Amino acid sequence: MEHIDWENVVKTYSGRVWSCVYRLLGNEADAADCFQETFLSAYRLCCSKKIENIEALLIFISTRRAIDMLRKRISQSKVNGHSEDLQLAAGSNPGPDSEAQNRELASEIRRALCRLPRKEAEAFCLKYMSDYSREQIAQELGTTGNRAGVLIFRAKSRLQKIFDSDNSRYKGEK
Amino acid sequence: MESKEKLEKAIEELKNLRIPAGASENLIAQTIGKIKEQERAGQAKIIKIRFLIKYAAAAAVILCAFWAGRASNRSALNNEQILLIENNLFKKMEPLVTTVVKNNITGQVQNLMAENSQSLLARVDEKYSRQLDDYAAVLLALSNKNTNTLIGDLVNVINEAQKREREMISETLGKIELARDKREEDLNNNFIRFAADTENEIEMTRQQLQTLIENKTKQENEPLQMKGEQNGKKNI
Repeated sequence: MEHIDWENVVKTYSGRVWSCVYRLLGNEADAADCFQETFLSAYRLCCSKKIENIEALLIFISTRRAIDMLRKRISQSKVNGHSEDLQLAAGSNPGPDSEAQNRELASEIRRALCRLPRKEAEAFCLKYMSDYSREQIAQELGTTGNRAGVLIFRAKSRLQKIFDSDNSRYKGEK
Repeated sequence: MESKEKLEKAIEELKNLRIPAGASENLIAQTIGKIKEQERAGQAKIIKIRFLIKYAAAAAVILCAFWAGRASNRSALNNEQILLIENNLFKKMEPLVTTVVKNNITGQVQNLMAENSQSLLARVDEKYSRQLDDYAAVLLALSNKNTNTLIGDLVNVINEAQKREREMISETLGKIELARDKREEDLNNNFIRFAADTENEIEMTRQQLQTLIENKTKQENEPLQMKGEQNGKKNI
C-alpha cells in the first residue's frame, strides 16, 4: 500500500467533493454526512488497491453516496408520510418566485434521479453535474465508452418520461 | 412549460446551483480525525497480527527444540532390540507393502489394459467409420441410380398422360366441329323452308286480294249497268 497524505487530500479536494454532494442533496446535514463517508470510503479503498486518480475516485464515490442518501431520504419521507419538498423548503430561505421555481425544479430532478437505476443515475450525474467525459465515466463505472453513452442516453430518456408523466398528472389535477 | 425544456432547465439549475460555502473547517477536521482513527485502528490490527505471527513462530521453535532434545536423549539400542524392532516393523509393514505393490501392479495392468483397450477402441472406431463411409458411398450410388430410374419412369408416365390428353382434346374438338356443321346445315334448310312457306303465303294473299278486288269491282259496276239499261229502255 502506497502512503497517501490524507490530511492533504481532504484539504485539497474538500471543495470539489462538498459541491458535488451538496448539489445532489441540497441539504447541509446530509451533505456533511456524505462528505465524511466519501473520504472514509476512499481511504478504505486505497488500503485494498492502488488508485491512479484520487480526484476522479472521490467524485465518483461522492456521487454514488449522494444518490444513495437521496434514495434513503426519499424512501424515509415516504414512510413518514410527509413530502421531501417540505423539508427542503423549511431549510431554505424564501426568495423571489423565479428562485422558488428553480428550487422546485432542482428538487424535482433530485426526486426523479432516485427513480432511475443506480448506474444510470451515476452516469447521468457524472456527465451533467461533474462534466465527465464518456470515457472517464466508463472508466469509473468499469464499462466501455459506448455502454456509458447508452447509460446516459437511457437516463435522460427516463428522466424525460418522468417529467412527462408528472406534467400530465399536474395538468389532470388542475 | 414543455417537459423537455423543463428537464433541460432543471439540469441547468442543478448544475449552476449556488453552493452556500465549502465544507466547514470543523467538518474537514472531523473527517481527517476519522481517517486518522481508522489508520490507527488498521495499524493496531497489523501490530496484533505481527505479534500473533511472532508467538506462533516462537511456539514452533520451542516444540522443535523439545522434540530434538527427546530424540537425542534416547539410549542406544542393542542388536537384539534392533532385530526385534526390525521383525515387528517387517510384520507390520509387510501387508501394507504387499497391498501397495499389489495396488501398484493392478494399477499398472489396468492402465496398460486401459491404454490397449483405448487403442483397440480407436482402431475399431476408425475401421467402423471407414466401413460406414464406404457403405454410405455405395448406398448413395445405388440410391442415385434408383432415383434416375424413377425419374425416367415418371417422365415417361407424364409424356404418356400428356399424349392421351392431347388425343382426347383433338377428338372432342372434331366432335364439336361436326356438331357445328350439322347445326349450320339444319339452320340453312330451315331458312329455305321458311322462305318457301313465306312465298306461298304471299301468293295466296295476293290471290285472295285479287279476288276480293274483282268482287268489289263487280258489285260496284252492277248498279251502274242496271241504271244504264233502264235509261236505254227509257230512251227507246
